[in-house]
Amino acid sequence: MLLQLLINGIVNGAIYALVALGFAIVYNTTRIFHIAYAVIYMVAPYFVYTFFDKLGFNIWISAILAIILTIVVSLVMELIVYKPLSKKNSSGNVIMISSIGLMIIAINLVALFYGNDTKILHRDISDSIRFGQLIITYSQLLQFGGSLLLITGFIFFLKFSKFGIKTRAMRDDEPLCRVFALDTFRFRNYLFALSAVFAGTGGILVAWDVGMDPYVGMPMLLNAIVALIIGGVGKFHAPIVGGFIIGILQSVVIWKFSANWMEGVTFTLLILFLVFRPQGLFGEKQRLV
Amino acid sequence: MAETILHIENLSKAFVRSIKTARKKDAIEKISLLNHLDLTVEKGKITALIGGNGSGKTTLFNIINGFLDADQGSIKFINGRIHELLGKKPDTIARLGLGRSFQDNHIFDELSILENMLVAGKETFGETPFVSLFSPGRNRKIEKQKTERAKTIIENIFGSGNYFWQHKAEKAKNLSHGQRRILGLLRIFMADFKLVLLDEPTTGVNPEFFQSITDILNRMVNENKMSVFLIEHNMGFVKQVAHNCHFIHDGCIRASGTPAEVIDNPLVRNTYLGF
Ligand SMILES: Nc1ncnc2c1ncn2[C@@H]1O[C@H](COP(=O)(O)OP(=O)(O)OP(=O)(O)O)[C@@H](O)[C@H]1O
Ligand SMILES: [Mg+2]
Repeated sequence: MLLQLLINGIVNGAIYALVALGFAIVYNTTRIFHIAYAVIYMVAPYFVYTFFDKLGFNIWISAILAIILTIVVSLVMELIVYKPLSKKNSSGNVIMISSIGLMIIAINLVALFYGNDTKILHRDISDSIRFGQLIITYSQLLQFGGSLLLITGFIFFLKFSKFGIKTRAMRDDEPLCRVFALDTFRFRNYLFALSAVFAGTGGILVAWDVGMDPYVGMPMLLNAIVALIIGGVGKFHAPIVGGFIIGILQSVVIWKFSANWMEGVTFTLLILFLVFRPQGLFGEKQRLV
Repeated sequence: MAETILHIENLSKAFVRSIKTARKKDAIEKISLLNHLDLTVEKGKITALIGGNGSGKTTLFNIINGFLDADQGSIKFINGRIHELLGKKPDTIARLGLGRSFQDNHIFDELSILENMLVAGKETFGETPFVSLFSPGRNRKIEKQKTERAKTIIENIFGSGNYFWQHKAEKAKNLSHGQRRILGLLRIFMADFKLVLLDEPTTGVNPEFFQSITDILNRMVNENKMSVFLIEHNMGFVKQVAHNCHFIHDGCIRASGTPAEVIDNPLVRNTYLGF
């Protein structure tokens, strides 16, 4: 029983890690607290729903089209809200409030078009692999494999590619990047696109398993933010570790107590970190000089 | 007649500050920091800008490189063609060939010493994730050339077997303050700038590094044909490296000439040097 829950926890952890990393790609480089990221996660499976369930496209084509549209949504958010505000040197709080507004508008729009009820992407019962008592469904394998592929791909990219060096340079010192001729606003477009791929893939993989409604984004975003904070803000591998910790912790909580306690324990962990180790597992104490 | 690389005319800048008055109503106070300032920087020379704390030197640099807007005036950058810099973005200005360093240390802390050098190129190749992904061959070739170039730049100043190259894989945050300043200067060579603005290159640096900084500045001008415009408080250093010197006071340039001439100017003595 514990082992089964642990496997579920690791699969959930992979999704948390993926979504948290997408959030960190934007947050670490632009310092935008991108609450509307929840919408990116939520809206991607609705695009799949439209292409696959309504228009009858092939599932892979539907998924690719959905990711492309999700990128478009992410870029629209950057171009019509974040970029103008950043250019005016608006404070982080103003940007965050705008982001919340953006999220509410988008959720309302989705609810208007698709309704408030839970939508299911497919009706087949997922096949599964059995090892004695243990069951791993194909959906779970897909979630785990897909997340791991994107995460390791990105980490490799970050370390070795030019794009990766520039991303880390943006994280360290944005004005300095501009002094060395980087068009930071154009670069931000790539970052917002990439983060949409991460959130969109996570959203689609989870919805393929359990379906979605217009409100699935916020709880996932909160888990991602907790993963980011306990891992350590500013580091790219931190939200990955944080995501797995939360996933596994939640499965242990379900085993020991009940699923009702899951969120309570997650946020208890968050508060413990904020009080006793605010820099997170991998963060360093801020050097004052 | 010497050639000009930067020509500033009639430049003004005021900051608006809100202050609390006795009647608890916010009042707005306007501080004009730069007042119809005119200034010329000669091509291929080292030009120093001196002036008291808060006289607007850094603000002037911020306006030149596009971080701040000006209220009026013009800034012409002459590099083949004449470019008006006011109204342009910092990265556009950088691409035209104008670079700068900061008064406080700006370094990519989590990047290695080598990566700090590599990231400072004007070329945009590899900026998009797709090119990085799909053109690894060309990417590697450019990377190799740039690595060679970084090595040459560092060895030109410090010889082979130097500290920086031996520790090239180490994160820049592990360097001392002085070493980071030096790295910041070396990095400028990577970018093919024609004019660089250096904001107090010697401040907070151990005197043991002064010789290296002098070498770097001379090499920028003599070997790399750059022009240097630097803010400096250390008058000994100004005398040693600079060809020209300007003194800023009350928002405009009040004395210009060779460093010796400016230091001898009575106004400079009375209001700034204090002897
Ligand atoms: N963005 C800004 N908004 C409001 N006031 C500013 C701004 N930037 C600078 N100032 C003010 O302008 C004045 C001049 O600052 P500046 O940094 O240009 O001086 P400086 O000549 O470089 O001095 P130092 O020698 O100490 O470096 C200071 O009083 C500063 O507080
Ligand atoms: Mg200054």
